[in-house]
Amino acid sequence: MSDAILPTAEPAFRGEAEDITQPKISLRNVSVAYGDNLAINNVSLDIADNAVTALIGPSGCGKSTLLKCMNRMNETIENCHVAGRVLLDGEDIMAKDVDPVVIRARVGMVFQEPNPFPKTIFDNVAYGPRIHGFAESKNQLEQIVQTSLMRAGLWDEVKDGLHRPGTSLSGGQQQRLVIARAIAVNPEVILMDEPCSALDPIATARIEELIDELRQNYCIVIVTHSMSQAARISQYTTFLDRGRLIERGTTEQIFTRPQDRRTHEYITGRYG
Amino acid sequence: MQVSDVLEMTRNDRFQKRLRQRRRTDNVFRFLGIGAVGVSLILLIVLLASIFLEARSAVTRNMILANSSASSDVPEELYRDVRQALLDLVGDPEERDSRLQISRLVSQLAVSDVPDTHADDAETSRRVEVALSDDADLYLKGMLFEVRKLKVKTTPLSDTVLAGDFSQTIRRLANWRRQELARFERQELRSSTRAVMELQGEVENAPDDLMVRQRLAAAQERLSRLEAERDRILQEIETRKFRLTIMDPAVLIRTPNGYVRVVDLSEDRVQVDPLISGLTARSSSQIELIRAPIARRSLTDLQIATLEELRRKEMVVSRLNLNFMAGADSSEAELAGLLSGLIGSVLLMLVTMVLAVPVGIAAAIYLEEFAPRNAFTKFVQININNLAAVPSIVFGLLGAAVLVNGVELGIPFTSVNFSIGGGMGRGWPLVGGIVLALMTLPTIVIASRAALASVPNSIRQGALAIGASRLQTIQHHVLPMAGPGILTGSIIGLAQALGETAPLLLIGMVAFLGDMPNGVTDRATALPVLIFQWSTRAERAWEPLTSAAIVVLLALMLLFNGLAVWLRMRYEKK
Repeated sequence: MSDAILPTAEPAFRGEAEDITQPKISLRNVSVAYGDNLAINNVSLDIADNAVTALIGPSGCGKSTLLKCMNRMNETIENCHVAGRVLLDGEDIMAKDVDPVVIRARVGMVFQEPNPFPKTIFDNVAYGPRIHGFAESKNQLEQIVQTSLMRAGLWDEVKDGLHRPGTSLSGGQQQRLVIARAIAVNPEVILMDEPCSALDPIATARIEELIDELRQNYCIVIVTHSMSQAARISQYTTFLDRGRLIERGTTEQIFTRPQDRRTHEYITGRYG
Repeated sequence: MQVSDVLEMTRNDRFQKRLRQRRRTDNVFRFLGIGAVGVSLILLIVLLASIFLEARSAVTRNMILANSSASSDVPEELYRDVRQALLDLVGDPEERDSRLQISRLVSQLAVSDVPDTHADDAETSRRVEVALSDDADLYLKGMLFEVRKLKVKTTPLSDTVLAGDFSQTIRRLANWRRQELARFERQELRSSTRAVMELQGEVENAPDDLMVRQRLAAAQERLSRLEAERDRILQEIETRKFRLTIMDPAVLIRTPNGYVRVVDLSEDRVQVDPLISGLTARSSSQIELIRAPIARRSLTDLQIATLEELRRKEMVVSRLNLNFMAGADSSEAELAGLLSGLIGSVLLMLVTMVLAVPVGIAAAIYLEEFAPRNAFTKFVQININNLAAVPSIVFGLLGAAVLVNGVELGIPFTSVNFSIGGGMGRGWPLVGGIVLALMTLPTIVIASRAALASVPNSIRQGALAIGASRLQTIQHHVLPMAGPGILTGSIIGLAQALGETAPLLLIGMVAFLGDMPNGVTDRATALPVLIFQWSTRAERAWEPLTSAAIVVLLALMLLFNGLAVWLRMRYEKK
């Protein structure tokens, strides 16, 4: 029923089309509707590898929805319909014969609220490798857990208590644990949905450092409400408003020479 | 508005009044709450106390100790020996009636209850124990009726006359008689007087009606008889000389070596009727005043005397009533046990658990985790809630109709007939279990759904985002978190089924069964049904047994609910 309201025409957006020669993810004419409510209206977007792309925009503009298109998490939401193509390394992940389980192993995700499983720290990180059968031996699994925790910058804090429950950590530590859990599956892309909004400034700073380090190896897409955060950690920025892509470009260009009036007003805090 | 304004506002009278009013309402509500809790606590304590006090006497039962030369293989011989021992105790009376009364003190079915035997002298005789009849048992426990004991110095004047100071006994009897007289005048005499007056009125209206005249004559005769009776009682009270009838309290005198019953009573001497032995020795005696007239009690004077004699000779022992926990139902209270009901209940619970728990949990998981939210699932959900509110007896009817009898269906105006269901036996635990499972299912589904819904969605998303499949998400994360809630719901549902009576009555688990059930396809009864049956039996002895069975059922419930609490505490810590 709601497929009918999803538009298919070529999108119109402004901004310097920065040259991403080999996009990790490409969205083509993506529209998303919740019931009869159009959340994303005909968005096309390229996302660069080994870089941080920030999705910004006022509340309810569809940032999170767009993010969830990239690992098909939208499918788990009742009444959600997606149209258009989402290409991961040129392959359409929306195709019928693609198993979302495989996509989600390649595209990890970190949520707004830290959501460690009510299990031990070790089991939290080991969960992904276990269900996908990545580790051939116990040693290898331990190795993966250690590496992931190290990359997430949590190893030194938890190495003596790997069998404590993950929920006993502080908020910032929990978020890093969740990042380690995502890394453990060795994904190509990490999606982050406002990962710092529930954290205090110190924990936020640690996560931001971590994101900057992770950029070397992963393609990172982050939804954020904080302009300063987007400016600090991202290389590319995309501005969305009311489900439409308004402007995209390098972070430097968006924050210094926005082309659209709405972008300008938003980043200067007069809009949204 | 400035801060000082706000401060000013909080100081004015209206604000202060509202504040006081608010505090008052809070306090009233708190006191009402405490009151409600208090009232329910008191009711609970009263209920439990009355059950436990009543059940206390079922813990032990009195057994006759006797010597027997019979071999234990022939219970009839044992029974005969024990009966003979009893008869010897009271001097082996000749009259058939007396012998019968004595024999009835021993449990009539004790023959089938092979008594505990203790090898005493292996060759010649052994000591055996046989259960007393229920009323005898209750009498010895002091629960059947009140016995007042008075000490009096007596001297036998002849075989049947005893001298002594009986003024106290007379006073008590006179009191009783005055009460009886008051009742007598209030009821019989008054109604008889009224009948006479009414008939007199009728005669005046129709002086020629012979029938009415006859009836008047009869009523007058009855009235004069009653008045004569009243006069006799009054006179006896006046003269302090009583002739005891079967409507009077019994006065028994325990002599040093026997028992006598008082027939005529005056201040200084009594005429007696020997019950056991006679008046041989001279010494102080004990008078026992039993207020319940013989017509209103289940033990005769001779039986009471025999029991007292048994007690004096230390031929009764109080033993733990193990048979109550280990025996099957019986028509004799002293031999009844609840194990058959307990086994029946266990079988029922097994069938119910095997059917209701997996189906209920699976339905809850499907409805909560997989089913799309559409009109159909909404319909299903509403109907599950409705099902939980269906009276349990309706499920019993369903079970009886569909499982036991089968439903005959036919298409109208054709000869097509067919039947659905049927084929299962009445009173099978299998049938009861299916019925109880249907009844328990909604409870389990609703509780499990609530438990599943309480698992935060972020956990599901976290697992899905790593690439877990839907089933893996449920299996690895949702179920372990919802587990305690599901378990609690299931156990509470089962506990509810354990106490259910009405549907079991309808599917025929109510029959009297003196045997243990052999399996789920054998006739059986259940603990609550047994309690129901026992509570309807007339003899006084069933009351403590019923209470004791209720205590066992309550203990089982407590065990179940305790298990639920323990599991919840254990798994929720993690």
